[in-house]
Amino acid sequence: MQLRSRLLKPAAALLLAAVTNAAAAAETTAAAQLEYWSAQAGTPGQAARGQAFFASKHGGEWSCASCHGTPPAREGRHATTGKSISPLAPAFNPRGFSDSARSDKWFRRNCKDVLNRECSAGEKADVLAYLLQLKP
Amino acid sequence: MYPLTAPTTAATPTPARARRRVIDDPMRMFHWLFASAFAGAYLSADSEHFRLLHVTLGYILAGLFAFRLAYGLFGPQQARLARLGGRLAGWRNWLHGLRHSGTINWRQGQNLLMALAIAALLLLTPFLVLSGYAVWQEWGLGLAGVDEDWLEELHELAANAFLAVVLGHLALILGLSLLRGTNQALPMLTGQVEGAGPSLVKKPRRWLAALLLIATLAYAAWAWLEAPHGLVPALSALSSPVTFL
Repeated sequence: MQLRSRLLKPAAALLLAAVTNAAAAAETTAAAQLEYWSAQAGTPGQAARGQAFFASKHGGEWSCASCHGTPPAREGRHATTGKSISPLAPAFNPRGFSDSARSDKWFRRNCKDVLNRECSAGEKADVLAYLLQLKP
Repeated sequence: MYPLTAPTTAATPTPARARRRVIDDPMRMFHWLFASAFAGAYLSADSEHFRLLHVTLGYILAGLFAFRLAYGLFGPQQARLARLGGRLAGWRNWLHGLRHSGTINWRQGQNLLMALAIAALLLLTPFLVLSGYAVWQEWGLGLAGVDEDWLEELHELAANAFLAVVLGHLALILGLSLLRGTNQALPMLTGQVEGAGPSLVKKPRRWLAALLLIATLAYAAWAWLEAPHGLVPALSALSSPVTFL
């Protein structure tokens, strides 16, 4: 019994850590992230450049649009699994870009999927400018 | 005497080294399939190209875990989970020995650590597999006001905890190999250790190991054919039988 509680405690702590982490949502906006990445890049994000970036394949198999659609104002479709993906443009998805850790994570993962590298601050600023421009 | 039928070299037979069987075939097959599936799943976790491969490896881990539970409940003595529990319960004796005699039983301590690593991996597996399944089924989306990412975070945490224990397990094997001067990983390949004594394993049960391998490969093949673009994008041509025929 003693042994069992010793083994279960770390598991409970693990669960708790994940749940409390989830409580930290909605701490940012797409506009705030555009501002941040523009400052990092030293130049404001440009929607037209972002649109072109979003639609090109960059030498790989996919573009951003392969999964998120063009324009990304509707639900996207995962290119390998076929699962639906919530609209990327913040005007069509209240949860879009509301958590900086989440945005960073998916920029990192998906840029590697499309470009085989991480995106630069300027590229992120351009894409955000493009996404913010999309309105219903 | 005919030289052809009675070779003279037979006069000096090499004495066979004493060996005993300690790990049966299904356990070894389970171990290597489980280790490969986890390694593959960990490596394929960060890419959307490999998402279906990752999920398939997760289902394989779940299936192998179910086999391990069944084998640990109904299998032979040496594979019983109760035996693992018994080994772990030995930590009381070990502590008792440490307190009262003041000497450290190093060997027993090392064996306890190894048993602890195995138990931790088995206990983490349901967390790992179920949290992964929940992410895949997007269960988090159904909970109003709750960030769906908490499931992903839980899954990542479980995977990293699992990896940490795996690395501890490997470090322990490497350390013990150096300390004891024998390759401690070899018994998981050969099933045997050197030395005289009774074999723990009465029957090798090769057929069950073969069955486990066939079931795993059959599932993987089925998953590959079901996937619209195969499981490994670079080899996606293989998934379309039309290109072959």
